[in-house]
Amino acid sequence: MSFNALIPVFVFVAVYVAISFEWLHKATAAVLGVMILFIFGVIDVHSAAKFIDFETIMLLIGMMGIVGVLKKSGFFTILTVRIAKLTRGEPVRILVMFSIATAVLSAFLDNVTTVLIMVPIIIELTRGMGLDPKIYVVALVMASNLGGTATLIGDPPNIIIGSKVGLTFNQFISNLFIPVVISSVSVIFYFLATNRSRFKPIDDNLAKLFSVQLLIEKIDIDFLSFKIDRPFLIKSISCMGVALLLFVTHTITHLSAGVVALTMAMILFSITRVDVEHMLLEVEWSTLLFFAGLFILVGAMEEKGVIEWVARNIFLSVGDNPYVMVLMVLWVSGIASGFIDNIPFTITMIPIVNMMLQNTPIPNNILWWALSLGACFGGNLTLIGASANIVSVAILKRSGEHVTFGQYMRWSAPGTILSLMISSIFLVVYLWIYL
Amino acid sequence: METNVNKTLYPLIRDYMSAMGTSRTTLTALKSYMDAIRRLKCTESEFWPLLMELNKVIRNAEPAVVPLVHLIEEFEVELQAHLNKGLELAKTKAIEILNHKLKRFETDTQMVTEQCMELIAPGDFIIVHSPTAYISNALVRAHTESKRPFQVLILKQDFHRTKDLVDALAEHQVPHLLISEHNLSHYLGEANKLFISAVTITLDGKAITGLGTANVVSICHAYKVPVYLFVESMKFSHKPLPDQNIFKEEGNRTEKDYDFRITTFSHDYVDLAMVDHLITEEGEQPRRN
Repeated sequence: MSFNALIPVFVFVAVYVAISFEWLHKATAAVLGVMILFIFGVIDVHSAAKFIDFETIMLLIGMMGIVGVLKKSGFFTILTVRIAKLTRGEPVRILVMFSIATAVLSAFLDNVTTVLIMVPIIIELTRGMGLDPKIYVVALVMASNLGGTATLIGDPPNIIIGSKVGLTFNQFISNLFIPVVISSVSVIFYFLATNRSRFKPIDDNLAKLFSVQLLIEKIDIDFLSFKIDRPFLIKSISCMGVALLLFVTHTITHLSAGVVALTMAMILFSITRVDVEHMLLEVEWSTLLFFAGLFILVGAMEEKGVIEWVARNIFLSVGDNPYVMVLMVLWVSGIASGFIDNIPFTITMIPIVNMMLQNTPIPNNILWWALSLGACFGGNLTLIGASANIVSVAILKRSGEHVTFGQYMRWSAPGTILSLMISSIFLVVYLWIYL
Repeated sequence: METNVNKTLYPLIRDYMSAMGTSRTTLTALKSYMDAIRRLKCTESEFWPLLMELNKVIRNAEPAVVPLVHLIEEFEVELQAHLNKGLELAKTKAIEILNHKLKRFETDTQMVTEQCMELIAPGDFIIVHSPTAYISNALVRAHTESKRPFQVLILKQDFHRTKDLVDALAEHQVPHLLISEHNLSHYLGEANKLFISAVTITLDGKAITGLGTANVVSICHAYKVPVYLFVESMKFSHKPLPDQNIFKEEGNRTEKDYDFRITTFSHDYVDLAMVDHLITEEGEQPRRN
């Protein structure tokens, strides 16, 4: 590798380290990295712009806008309070119903939004029942990372893979539905089986049974104190529904997911007459800046041959056995995502996986599913593996509950390994069927 | 077990009372009790001890929910006769008795509402503090059913209570004005009544009320604004003030990076000597000396 190729490598590693140790905000780090490349003449502004995947950016802006309006409508709060009522205070029901609801919601919303909605209410519910909220929150966060893997829009790695590679909403859901469902169910069973004493039924405890009704009503009062604007709610849900319909009918309409999401967001802003300035605050501009910066950094490395070097010397050196390739991508992504941010990791892996596929074609996009499953499921491995994990632990801390890195991993790691093993079996069988 | 239950149940009851008032807390607690008995799985010999354990916890709640305690005491006495008839029959009977208590308390609450309505006259400018549902209902019904012209001055309190009252009056277009408690002095010349409710009336002549009511009553008493206290007779306690378990907490509160060490109580109390009219479901009660 030439010296010119080493500069983007150093910059990329420096950005990664700065983000991992929280020395700099991720957007600042990424953009600073890009500026350094400009200053040293590694790339110019015009070629940098070409590296940015605007399809991904549009999809993110569109979904953030739609979700922002849906949040304002109170839809999610109504849903979570209903689920709380259905649990009737039973520990097993709380775990199962909230995990399932979180997994399903995460398939359509970003994981951080999902946990911001679900975690406060599950803390209130479990504490009110005299239960330890920490394990419920960890299970819920794992469900959000698992559920988000099922669709194109559920998790940032999928958005990136789908946009860059041209995979559709239907392809994601039809290929990943089975491993996601099996993994989610398995992880719930794992929590129940290994923590029986924490999920004991309450039907022999009259005092706890007595608390339930009071608690549910209190949750109703605390969380549903706003007036529900029904027309607003209906418009918001309808627009989300139309967006999903258009995602699903992509092969008919030929409208890309980014175009659909951004169009529906603007239509929703118009018909609900929301304060657009306020709604645009719901768009995480720092995340988008971070994405843009990373696209440029990785694009620069690709242009300078760094990606090709990594692909040839690490990933392609394992040979051309498709089973080995698929499992390697799955597990390397899985373990790496547990410790480093899966967004830059995914962006970096895309050109590498492309090269692997040029060398050894693998049918039915199985190698991309391996990357998706690894990058998304791997985020469950540790407390720092995904943004949703960090946000949930912060909410717990604000409520006076502390979870250490080790404690989190004791609950999360076995479930994550289990989900990666399930994914391995799924991918091997899938590959065996199509080879 | 009891200590763990206290840690979760007492704050829950206290928060609920703060947001919804004692009457609504009593009604919800009775419904909760019935639901708990329906769902309970135990042996026949465990049933009574479990009930007694829960009743002990309820009696010791901080603060005491006096109407609930009274109803539970009656429930215990009435259920005794049915305990030896098998578990399912005992559970059915327990639910039946509790349901009867619930309906009786609801009736008492409705009768207090009627009494309150009778005391709203045309042209009144009524100050409202620590309102419960029956004061709110009475104000709405006096306006919508009896078409009496009057105005309400709401003193801002706990978020939920204030919001519920404002929403109810706004929905039925009852003329009202919302002010902060500490601005009351500006309206004392115009107001001609103060309506309050209470959590409990103690044996030694104190009314336990929501936070801020004591100050409001004091200033109204000083300015000779008649104070009307509305309570169900079920809220009359057999115990004096020190035995009411008013929750006291010492803790830190931070404002603008400055830490205050502050002592707070969950409720105020008002001497009945400052209450001009004490009204229950049976009408106005004679003043205690």
